[in-house]
Amino acid sequence: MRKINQIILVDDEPVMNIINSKVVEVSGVCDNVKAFECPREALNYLSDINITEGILLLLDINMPYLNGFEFVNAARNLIRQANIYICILTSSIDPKDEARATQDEQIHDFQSKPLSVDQLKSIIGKCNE
Amino acid sequence: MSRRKWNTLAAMAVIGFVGWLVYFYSIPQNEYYEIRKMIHEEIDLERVKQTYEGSQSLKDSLHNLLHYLKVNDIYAWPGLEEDRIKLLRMAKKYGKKEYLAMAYRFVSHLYIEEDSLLFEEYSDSAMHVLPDNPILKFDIYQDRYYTSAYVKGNVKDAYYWLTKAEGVILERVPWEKDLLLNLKVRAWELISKRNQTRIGHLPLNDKELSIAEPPIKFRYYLSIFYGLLEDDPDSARTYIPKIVDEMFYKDGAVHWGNYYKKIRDYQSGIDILEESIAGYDRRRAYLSLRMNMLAEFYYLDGRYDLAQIQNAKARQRYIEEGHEKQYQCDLLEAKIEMQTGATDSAIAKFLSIIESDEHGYLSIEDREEAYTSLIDYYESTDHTAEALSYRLELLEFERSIWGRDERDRLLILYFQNLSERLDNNLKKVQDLRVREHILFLVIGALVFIVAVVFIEFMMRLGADRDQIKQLNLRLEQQNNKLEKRVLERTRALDEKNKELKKSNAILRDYAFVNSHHLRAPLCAILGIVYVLGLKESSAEEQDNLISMLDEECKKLDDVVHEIQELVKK
Repeated sequence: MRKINQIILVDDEPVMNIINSKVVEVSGVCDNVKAFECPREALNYLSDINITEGILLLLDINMPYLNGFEFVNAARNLIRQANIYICILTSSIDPKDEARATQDEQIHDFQSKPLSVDQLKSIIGKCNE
Repeated sequence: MSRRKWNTLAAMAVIGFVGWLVYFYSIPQNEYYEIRKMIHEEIDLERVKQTYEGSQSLKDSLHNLLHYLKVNDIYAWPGLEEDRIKLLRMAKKYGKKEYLAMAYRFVSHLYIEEDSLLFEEYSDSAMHVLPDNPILKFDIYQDRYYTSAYVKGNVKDAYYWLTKAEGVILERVPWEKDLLLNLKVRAWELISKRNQTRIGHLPLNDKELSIAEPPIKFRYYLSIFYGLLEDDPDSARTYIPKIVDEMFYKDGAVHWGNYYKKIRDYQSGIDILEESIAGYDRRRAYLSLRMNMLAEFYYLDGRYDLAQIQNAKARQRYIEEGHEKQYQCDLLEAKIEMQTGATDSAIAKFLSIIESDEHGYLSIEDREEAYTSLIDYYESTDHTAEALSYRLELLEFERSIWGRDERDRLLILYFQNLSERLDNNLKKVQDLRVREHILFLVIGALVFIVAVVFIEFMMRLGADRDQIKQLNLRLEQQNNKLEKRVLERTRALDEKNKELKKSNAILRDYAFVNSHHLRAPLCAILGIVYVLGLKESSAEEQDNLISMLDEECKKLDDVVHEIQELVKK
């Protein structure tokens, strides 16, 4: 039951980050939005954050150097300590990816692109349960 | 030749031999006939004489006694009474029906001339012991023929019994040719003895003669001899050595005697008979006949004293041999008395012979001679009435017995018919024999062929089995090869399958990747359009978004082109 203080977008496509930022802005659920095109940068950023903050991480799967699942594995301890909710947001329609995501306890949600305002609101709603 | 083939030949030989044995023993055997044949064989008389009483086994004694009786019996000579009774006792003890029947028959011969009732009783006993034996019936019917022809002088009856004997043989034992020959000779015997005409043809041909038994040959020569004796003594003479040759005892004195009597050479007759009587075995039959004949020769030669003495000896011998009546001696004595002047005694004797009811051996001829002697006497003494009366009586008697009138000629014709019919039957029997041989050959050939076929079949079966084994082996090998090939193929298929699966997976991955590649710009486009649709953007942002849209659309187009290029490859 944490309020989402920050939304972090991780996607290698800058276009997607711009669009998703706009959707978050329009929805008005959170003012603090941070977008990363490089997953490593996002990891570095996460290691420095305040652990009490409620953070929603919208993560793409298909990324160069570090894909979404590898990212989760790398940030596992971090995620456990902090209030980080991870939602996979991907253009993939591969059922294997969804299965893998649902099996992972630390991945809370799995959504397909493109992100809409309603979609985001429902994700936030799930986080607040 | 291979061992297998030898084995085959040996098997064939064995099968052929077994087939022949089966054929041989399928011919019915007649033990009575075997014994009958046995006692007709020529044997060493001296040995039999010595051994018949002291033989080791009962069977041997029986055989020897049968031989002895057969030799001395020579068709119905009375006498040897003790030996016959002994034979009957031994046969009863031995217990075989065949011997018992034969013994009864031998005993019946004891009475064949003297007592026809007893004769018939004993022969009936023989038939009763062996009721269904055709050979025995044949023998008994022949005996009956003998009594009818020679004792009773009844030609009709004689003919009847001969045809009955013929019927038995033709009905029951057509394979016995000897018996038919015997009948043929019997019929001819009767014709030749009474027809008293020269015989125009021979009843047996050379081939038949060569296979006939000694008794048949003996009777055959005898019948020709007597047939010729009346007309052609010189020709008849040539048969005497043949007769003697076929006789059990090689002594033809009686037949020589008949011949010399015919040619009136009395001295030769006296010589041969004296010699015969001196060397004759006194245990045998016919000695009385020889003595009587010698006496007759003395009488014919005019030596009445000697004739009388010899006749008395003959009478004594007749009594020893078992004859109660001695008509021949009576007749000769009467003839001698007639010559020496004792006419009253002679006439009484002639009359007693004529009036006798009994029919002893030669009694028919004796009676004829008695009649002629009386007629001669009465004619020479001018008693014409008596002479005529006896001449009429003689005619009547001759008519009743043999006669030469129409009826008797017909009877003789019957016998000639019988003889001819027997000839035909003989031919039939010969045909049967030939057919039997052919049958045997055919059966033998069939057995042989069946054996050959069977053995061939078995061998082929063996060969087939080998072939099947080889084929099976080959089939197994081929099966193994096939299995190997199938295994190889499945292995190849598995590999191909794996490859296919692999390539399939690759293809799927490839398709997925392609869709992903397509979806990335598509999602961007959809997002841009969505954001534009929210109408929350500034003009600058909108321009920016539209340029991004353009860019993403181009990206999408590039991806589509890339895929098309790949598909083309």
